[in-house]
Parts: sequence; C-alpha cells; structure tokens
Amino acid sequence: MTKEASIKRATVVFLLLALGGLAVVGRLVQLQVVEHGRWVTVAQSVQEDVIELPARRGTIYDRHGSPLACDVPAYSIALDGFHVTKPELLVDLLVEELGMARETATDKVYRAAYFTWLARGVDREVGARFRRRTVELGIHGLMFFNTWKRVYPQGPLALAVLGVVGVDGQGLDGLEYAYDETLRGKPRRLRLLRSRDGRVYDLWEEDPGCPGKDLHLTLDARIQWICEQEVTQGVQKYVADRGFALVMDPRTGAILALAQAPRYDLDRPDPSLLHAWAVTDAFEPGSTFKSLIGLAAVDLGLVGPEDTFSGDSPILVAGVPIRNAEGKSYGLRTFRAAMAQSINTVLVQVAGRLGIERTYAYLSRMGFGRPTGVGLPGESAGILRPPERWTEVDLATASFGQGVAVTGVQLGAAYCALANGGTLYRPYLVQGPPEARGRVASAEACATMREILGYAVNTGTGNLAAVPGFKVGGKSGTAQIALPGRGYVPGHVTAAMAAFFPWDNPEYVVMVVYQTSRSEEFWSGSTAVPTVGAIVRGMAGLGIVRPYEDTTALGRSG
Amino acid sequence: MRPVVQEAVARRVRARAMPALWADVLAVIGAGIVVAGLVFLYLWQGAILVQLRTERAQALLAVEELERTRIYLEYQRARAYAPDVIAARARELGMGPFDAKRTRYLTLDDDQGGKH
Repeated sequence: MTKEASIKRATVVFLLLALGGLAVVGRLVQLQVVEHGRWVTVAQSVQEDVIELPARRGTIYDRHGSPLACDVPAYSIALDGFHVTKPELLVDLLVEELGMARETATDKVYRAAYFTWLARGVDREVGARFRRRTVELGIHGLMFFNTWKRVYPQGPLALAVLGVVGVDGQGLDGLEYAYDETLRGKPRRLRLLRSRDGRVYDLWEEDPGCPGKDLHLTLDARIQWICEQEVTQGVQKYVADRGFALVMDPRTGAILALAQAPRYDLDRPDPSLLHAWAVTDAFEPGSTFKSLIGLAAVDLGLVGPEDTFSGDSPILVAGVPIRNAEGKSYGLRTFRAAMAQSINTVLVQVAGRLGIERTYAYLSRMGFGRPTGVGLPGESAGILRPPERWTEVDLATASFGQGVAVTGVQLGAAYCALANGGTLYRPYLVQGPPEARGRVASAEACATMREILGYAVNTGTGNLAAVPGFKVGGKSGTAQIALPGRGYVPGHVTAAMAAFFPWDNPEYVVMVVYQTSRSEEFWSGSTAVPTVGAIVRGMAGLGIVRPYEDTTALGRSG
Repeated sequence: MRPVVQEAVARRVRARAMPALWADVLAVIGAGIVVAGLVFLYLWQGAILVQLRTERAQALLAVEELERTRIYLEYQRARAYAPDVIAARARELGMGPFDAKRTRYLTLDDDQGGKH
C-alpha cells in the first residue's frame, strides 16, 4: 500500500469518525439543549412525584384544654378503573372491611372510569388493614391518600356550637364555619424522587404549608356534658319539641355551656339541628323578662321591694284587659312577692311607671334588638320595635315578656349584667379579653333585684331550682308562641328559667328554655325550673362548684 | 554500513528506547489510574450521597408517620377520658346516674348554735 493510499484511507476513517462524533454531539445538543424542557418533563413524570399533604385542621379545645374537635390521620381510597385487578375480591373486601353495601361497592368497582373515590375519611386502622389485605390478595389499581378526618374526642358534645366539616375539610356550620380561615391551614407540598419500584430516594419540600391554628373556647366540657344530659332528658320527659341550656360566667360574659336537644347525631346527620337555636332563633321570653323590667324600675327608684301593688286580674290598659296566668287575682302584693308569684298585672303597673321611652332605653341598653356578636353564624337580632311604634298595650305586654322577641344569648347576657352589678358584656365562645358593652343599671339596683330573685326561687315559682347551699336566684317564665298568620295557638308554649348562683355574688348564670307544640299544660315551673336545679346539682356532683353556705352539708344515702 | 553493523546499531537504539517507552506506558497507566480513581471517588461519593438522601427521605417519611401515629394515640387517650365514655364505663360497673331522689341534705346543729 502506498503512503498516499494510507493517508487517503486514514482521512476517510477520520472523517467518518468525525461525522459519527458530530452526529452524537448534535443529538446530545438536540436532547440536552433544544429539547431540554421536554425531556426534563418526561424524566420528572417518570421519577418525580409531587404530593400535597392536606393541612391538619386546627383543634378546638374547651377552656381546660380538652379537645372537642380535632383532626386524626385517615385514608382516602381511590380506584384506577383501568388498572384494577381482581375486582370481585375487591368488592368483597369493601363489604367486609369498610362495611359498604354490596350494590354500592359493585357499582364503584365496575364503573368505567379512570378515577373513582371508593371511600374517604377511612379510619387509620381500618385503612391500614384494608391496604394490607389488598396487597395480600394481589389487588392492584388502588390509590391510598393520607388525609385527615375530623373527630370529636368528647363525643358528640356541643356539635351545634362547633359545627361540622365537609369531606374536603371545609367548615360547614357553627364555629367550624365562622373560624374556617383560622382553622383551615395551608397544605404542605413535597416533591419525591422515586425509583422504578416506587421507593422514595429523595424528597424535598416545595411548600412547607402550615397547619391550621387551634381555637380555645370558653366552653367547659364537663358543664356542657351535664347540660346536654339534662336538657335531652328534659325534652323527653316533658314532651318538648326542643330545648336549650345556657351557662355563662356573668363576670366576663364567657359562655361555659350551650347545649340543646334534640342533639345533632353524627350517624344520622340532620342539618336543621346544626345551628344553636339559642343564637339563631328568637322567642318571647315570658316572665323571665319581668326581672329586667323590674331592674329598670328599681334602678330609676320607681319601685322598691316592699312597695305594694294590686295583683287583681284583669287590669285594663287603654281599654284592653290584661290578665294574670289562669286569670288569678292576688289582692295586694309587695313587689318582691309579685316577682316571686310572677303576677303580670303588677308588672304592668311597674312598666306604666317606667313609660315607653325609658323601658325601650333600658331594653336597648341591655342588648335586645341587635345581635350580641357571640361569633356564631346566623345570629338573630330578636325583635324590639322602635318606641314610636309602641302602644300602651305593647308596653304592658312587654312587661311580662310578650310582644318582644329575644334570643337565648341576649337574655343570658342581660341576666349576666344583672348578676355582675350592671355591666353588659358581649357573650363570647372563643377565649379572649372580655368586652364590656356599657352599664345597664347601678350595682345597688342589681343587688336589690338579685335578692328579690333569690327570694323568688326559694319561695315562689322557681323553687324547684333551689339547691340547698347554692343560693340559686332567678325567674321562670311561660310564654305562648305566636305562629305566623295564626297568632297565639294553644299548646304552643315556651317555658324558660333564667337563674344565677350564688345570688349575692353570682359566679354562674344558668338558663334553660323548652318549647313545645304538643302540650296544653306546659309550665316553666315543672319543666325548665327543675332542669336548672338538675344542672346546678350536676355541677356540684362533678365537683365544679362547692356549696356557698356552710350551714348545709351535701350528703348522700342509698 | 554493513547489515550486521546496522542491526547492531538498531538493537542498541531499541535497547535505549525501551525504558523510555515503558516510562510513557507507565505514565499513561498511572494517569489512567488517577483518573479512574477520581472517577471512582466521584461516583462513589455520588452513590453515598444518593444513599444518604434516600435514608433521609425515608427518615422524614417515618417521622411524618410517627407524628400521625402520635396524633391518633392522643385522640384515643382524649376519647378514653371523655365524659360519655366514663359514664358508660361507670354504668357497666353498676354505678347509677345522679339521682336527686337518692340525695339527702343533712343539716347538723353543733352545741354553739351553728349549723354545718
């Protein structure tokens, strides 16, 4: 081979190699530079996995730190309908482990869809067992998502106040709805690098997210439990349609318990039971209002405990006869006795001394006719018409709590003012500084009314609320319910008792209200009043309160 | 020059050239070993890093799982002390609910005229 031939051959080989090299380099440039974005996406889709971990919703605690509602780990299970294997076994497993109806399970498993939720919010233990069994049985095509489930460690306590959350963790009612922004939090996003077998070999946080903030309530789980027990029993025992019990701290306006019956049942959800009707519904307060009218009159010096009035029935107001309950006449009675015996006609005379303007001013100052700002959704303002629309008859009926409508929390807040010496506080459920809304009466007038109401419980219509040693004071009231377009209908009654104890320096305000549409003989004295007594006894029984008088010892015998 | 002489010269030249060639070969092999070592170290530390990252990822996921377990156990503890659960357990033990009819209030007089 000549030298020239060798050089020529070497040149050809070099050129071929160079071309090959260029082709490789060109392809590399194409893959790594020109199509970089596309191939990164492909690689990420194969290796990387972005998962969003739902934020844990904030826990709702009672005043002592007991959790009332919290999130616990759970599973949501979905099905890839095109990759599922052994569907018949899966149906059996769904029926067996998750308690799903066979028809539902069959429908879900055989649905021709890429993605089907099989179950959401499955308990952690159940979900883990289900997952293990699917692996054992070789069922493929299932997706398990770590998620959270709202649970209630104290049982179905205060659900009308707390509200519930939906499957996606959003607040639907009550405080869960009102404080959804606070409780919700922000999901955490992780990017995972997976090997072919699915093993995670790297992980980094794309978005740390943040868990929801906790909510600390003023509720006391023990008092709440007592109230729920008593009011539930009361509704059954007294054949009431519904009832509520409210316990407040008069020194701050904090709500310690807000229970109602019938209760919301998590197993049989009824949205109509999911609002606290002590907040959302207004009712005529009946004779419980007499204390407040009396307070206004005492505050202005128009009435004293020993002033006497005629308790005869009826009394004519602008030509309209106003009667006592059951038309009973009492003759001459002191104001104190009239309060104890709940004599309408005496309070009509007291209101007459006050007049429309002053009565309205006091009631308005006590917070009636506007929402209290308790913090629950759907709060009613009640009904307190402007004074220019009042007649003398309206004034007379308002004196015994008819013709005005109040909510439970409004009435509770007004009684708190009476109990604490005259300061109206905003009722509140979420812990924070108390918020005074102004003074409604002098401390002396409040003390006088408290003493009168202590007398009323111990000798009058409220005596079934008296618990020896606890110095309960208060006022009961029975009011007819006006139905739209029908007026006052027999058998539709509100029975209420607003109480406080100890009456000389109250630490608790307790209010119980029942409503019925079925009973002609439905009186507060035999319904709401004993329930107040039962609540006070229950609080004593759990050691929440101790007797205030050392002259009485609480004993128990079989 | 005679062929014999030429061959002797060439042999002598080759003999001198051999050590230089071996030196070059050794240098290339040495350089290769160094490069291979560096490459090995690079790959090895890469593998170690991947392994550490994997372990870290697994540990983070395990911590996550432990946290979820803690939350679940905390819930179970709170549930065990709930009033309705305690009441149910008390009923199982034969304790009756509070009954006002079974309550007696005892007022005791002392010899100083006080009551307790």
